[in-house]
Amino acid sequence: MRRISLFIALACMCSMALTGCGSSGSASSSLPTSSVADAQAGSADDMPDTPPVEVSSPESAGKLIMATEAGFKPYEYYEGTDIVGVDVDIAREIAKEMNMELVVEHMEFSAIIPAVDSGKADFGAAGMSITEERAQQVDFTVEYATSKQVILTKADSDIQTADDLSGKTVGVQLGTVADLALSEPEDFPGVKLELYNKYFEAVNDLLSGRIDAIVLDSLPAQELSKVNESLAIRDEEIFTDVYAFCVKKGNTELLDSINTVMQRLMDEGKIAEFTTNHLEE
Amino acid sequence: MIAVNELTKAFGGNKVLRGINETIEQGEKVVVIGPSGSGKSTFLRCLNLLEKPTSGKIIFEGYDITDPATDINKLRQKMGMVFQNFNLFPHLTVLENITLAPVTLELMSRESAEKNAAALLERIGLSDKAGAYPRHLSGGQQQRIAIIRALAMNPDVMLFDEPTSALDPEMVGEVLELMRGLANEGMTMVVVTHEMGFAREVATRILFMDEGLIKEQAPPAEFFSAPKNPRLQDFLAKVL
Amino acid sequence: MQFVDNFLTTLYKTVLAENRWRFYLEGIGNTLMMTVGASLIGIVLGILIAMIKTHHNNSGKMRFLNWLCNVYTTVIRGTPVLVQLLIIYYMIFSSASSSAAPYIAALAFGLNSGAYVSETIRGGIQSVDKGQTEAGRSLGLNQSQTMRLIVLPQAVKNILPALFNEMIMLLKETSVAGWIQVVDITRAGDIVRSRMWSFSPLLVSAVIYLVLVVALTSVQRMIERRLAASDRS
Repeated sequence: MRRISLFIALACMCSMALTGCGSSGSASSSLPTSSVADAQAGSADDMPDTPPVEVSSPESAGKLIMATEAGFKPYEYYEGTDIVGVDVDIAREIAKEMNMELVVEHMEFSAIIPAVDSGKADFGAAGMSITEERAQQVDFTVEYATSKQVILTKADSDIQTADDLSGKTVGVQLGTVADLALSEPEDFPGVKLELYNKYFEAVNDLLSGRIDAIVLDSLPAQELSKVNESLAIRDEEIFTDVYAFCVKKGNTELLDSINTVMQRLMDEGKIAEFTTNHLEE
Repeated sequence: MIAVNELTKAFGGNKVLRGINETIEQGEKVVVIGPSGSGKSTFLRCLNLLEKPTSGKIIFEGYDITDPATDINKLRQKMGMVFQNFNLFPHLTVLENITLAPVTLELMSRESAEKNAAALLERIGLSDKAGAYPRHLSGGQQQRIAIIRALAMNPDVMLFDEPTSALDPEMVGEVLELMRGLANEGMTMVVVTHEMGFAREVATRILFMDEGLIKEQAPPAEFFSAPKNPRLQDFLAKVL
Repeated sequence: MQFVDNFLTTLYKTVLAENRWRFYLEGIGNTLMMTVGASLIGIVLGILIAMIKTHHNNSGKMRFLNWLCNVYTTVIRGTPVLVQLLIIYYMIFSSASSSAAPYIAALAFGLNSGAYVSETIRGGIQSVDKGQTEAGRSLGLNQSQTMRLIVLPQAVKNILPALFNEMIMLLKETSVAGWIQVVDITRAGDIVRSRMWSFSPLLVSAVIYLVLVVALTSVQRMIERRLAASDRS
């Protein structure tokens, strides 16, 4: 009897997996550069006169996959099991405009650019700052927000400025501009850097005293200090940077579509609205 | 020196010793013979409590070794045991094998233990093997070293559990010769063996064990020429 | 040539640019420290547990300690080492500084290893001929002297290959130490990856592990051959 129930369970799992594959549409629509899918289907090596397979969902022509790291309120964060935030709101507008279904995928911050590059995701949206090095790997959209890097410490800490960080242990998220900046020993001498994958790990260690400070973007810092009253943001701005979404290099179609929507949202003041929404909650 | 009183031993449901009563006096050379399964090895191993009796008492030099309160380790220092499979320590040299116990138990300093060991090795003509490992030696050499390892503790009695049964025939002689020498020096010995020649020559008394009991005992001359117990007669007819 | 060119450029960017090899060096140092530390802790702990269980088996004493050992090995074998690491670092050593993380990790891996190694050691002790113990006891040595001087040395020789295997497994097991931000070989690859946004640093990490494991394995084979030879001669 037990063998049979095991077999049934396996059969159920297999069929679920298969239907999962089926409802994601054809192979061509799950290709990352979905707006380029039509062109590609034309050059497919198998039957050239077979049109791309229609997807199951009548409203959308395909999936638009957004890569993000959902630990960065207000830009992307978990509410229950859903990922929400400013970047998600913007992305939803983009998907609506392109008549596609938005799929938000959470991953490590440093995995986002490789994902966009390899085609695992269509675009990256993660409060990501434009840097020269990154621009060599991906194409950035227009800037949609400015941010400053601030120092987050315990309220009773004696760290006030960037110079005070010398000799201290500072936490940053792996791969962020804060990480790259603080890794330059000439600019930040004597700083012992702790590299975290998730901000909440860094905050835990900050609260328990394992590290002395975290350097991160100001809005997320605000959110964290709201939740943890023993934390405070220092006055000093270490540097400012601008956010943009990123797409695979050469994917000009998608880039243009996103830029159009972004510009419109900025002109309509929508992005500011989104930001306020997520800060208030 | 050793008094055994109503000794029984059962392994699970199997009664191996069914009530042994015996006394062994100083200077005696008691040889125990009998068919396999008769319990002779078990009897011997009870004497130094390698086997715990199921019931009965064993008194060694006035101490009741079956009493759990007795310090058996101390008493075992006075009893030497020689095993069928030699049981030399393979990871130690010959010299270390001999000096291990005296030094660890702080009976002798390392120098005196080594001197003593050297003398014992000299006695058996194996002085050049002091630094060798047991695996480099023949069976006969190993067993002789096992014997002097036990002697190094200056025991009052030596117990031999079929000391030559695992040896190639040509090496049996050298071991028996050593044992004979010990006997001549006055060592109290209890020997379980199949070597009838040795028994005839060296024993002061021979015990015949069968089915867990001592069925007959006598000095060698009488034992071999005029056995009374029918089982013994049978046994002797087969082995002699 | 294009392929070789690409390969060399990638290699340069992965290892040499901006002193990225320093991360790998730190990673190798931490990984080796954790492996050796955990191996030693595991063996010591394993011997302790094996002795308690053997003693209890033989004499029925130490009932409480034996029960404790059983609970310990059951829990350790029933949970993933990563979960154990996180619990030890975040709950038990919650106030320890972050620079102690590699040592805490070594402890966690050692505690884990001990539960498995104890079985190996117990088997090793069991495999020593009973006659050895009998000879030792007959000479008047007590239980612990016999175990320490006669049985254990022989047991260890028997199980040396298995202990080496455990060390090689530990080398790879320590790769989860990055979860508590320890810069081991894997995490070093991660960090370089976050600056390079390609996956070639992971390949470098893999190659480093491979080299280390192959080196350890050949040392193990050499030791095994030496032991076999000395047994035969």
